[in-house]
Amino acid sequence: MTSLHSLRSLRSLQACGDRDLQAFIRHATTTDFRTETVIIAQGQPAVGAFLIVSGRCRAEVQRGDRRMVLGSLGPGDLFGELGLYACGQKRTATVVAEEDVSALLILPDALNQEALRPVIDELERRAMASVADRIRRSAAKARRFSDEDEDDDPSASWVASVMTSLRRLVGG
Amino acid sequence: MAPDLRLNRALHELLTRFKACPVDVAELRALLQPLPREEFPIGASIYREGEPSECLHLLLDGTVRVSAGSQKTVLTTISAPTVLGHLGVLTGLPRSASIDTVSPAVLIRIGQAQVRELSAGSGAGNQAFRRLMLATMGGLMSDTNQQLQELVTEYGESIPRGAARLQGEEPPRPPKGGGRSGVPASPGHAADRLSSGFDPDLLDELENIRLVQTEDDRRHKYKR
Repeated sequence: MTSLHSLRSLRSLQACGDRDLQAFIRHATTTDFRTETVIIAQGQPAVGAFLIVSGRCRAEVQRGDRRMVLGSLGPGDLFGELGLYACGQKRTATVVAEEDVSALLILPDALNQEALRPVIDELERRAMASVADRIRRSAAKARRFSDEDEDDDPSASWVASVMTSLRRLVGG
Repeated sequence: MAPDLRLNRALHELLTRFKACPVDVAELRALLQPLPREEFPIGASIYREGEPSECLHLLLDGTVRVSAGSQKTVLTTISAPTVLGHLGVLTGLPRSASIDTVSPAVLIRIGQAQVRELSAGSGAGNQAFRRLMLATMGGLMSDTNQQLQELVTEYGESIPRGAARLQGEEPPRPPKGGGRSGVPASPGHAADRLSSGFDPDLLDELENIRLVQTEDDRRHKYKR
């Protein structure tokens, strides 16, 4: 089981008190993964999010027989969180343990447990900031691209499709 | 205050559409109901591209048109209920598109400071607001990911740069000064344009957006 000490050390939960963290530990499931274990797999239904307590993971994507490594996740990082709030999505990447990893699995039922409110509230605030930050950087690139493409040949319909997709994402 | 049934219906429909986790709609409604309403006639401008993002809106009634660029290219039309302008407010970026009404519209305006308050609080209504935003963003990402996946599938065989990146090779950058690709655009041959030197940064972005759900990409770097 995850220790109070290990949760206290996570920056993402520093605003939470010991009682709240203990309630969270009791509810969330501690899951341990050996090096190179696949924690979530691209294409699988998204059920629950993981909060990394110790160890490091890598996120990667597979297309056909090719693989691209996106980056690294460490203690305090949450992944798969949007699966909690917009259900029915599929995982869009694979996350693999790069070393022995301990993580807390947060299932949707945790979201409405009164005893977990302080921790869940904190994680949700951080999730909002983190998602907004990802979109901010995506938007910056999309804007640069679309500004350059204003006068491009209209017959390049795929450009228009990409722009529409990106602008819908960043819209308004 | 009597419950606003229109607001109630809008919240229920939004939360259902994005398959959001259960939230306390009554508490959220109680927070949003006192906020200022705005009514716009047909053809009114709600946002202009490039303006600072000072608020978001919950569209309760009506239909709006989203357009962008100097040609005012229409990107989409959206009918109530929907959330407008939330990404601009949450990210601090200027409006990336203009929004005009195509029918009379009724909206609730939520200013930047109110968004911060609503997001930070600990009440059930605050939690519901956060979840509405997260579900909306998640739904948008999911839709966009699906569209981009379709594009990548359709044009994937013509994306040597993306393919090279996936295989760990850095493709050569297009020459400077000869247009973005260094090769004139070929009308009617979109895939040719792509293979002749499409901006590698956008390909990064296509991949990032498809994958944005799982990573804290402040730390991310591509493996070369």
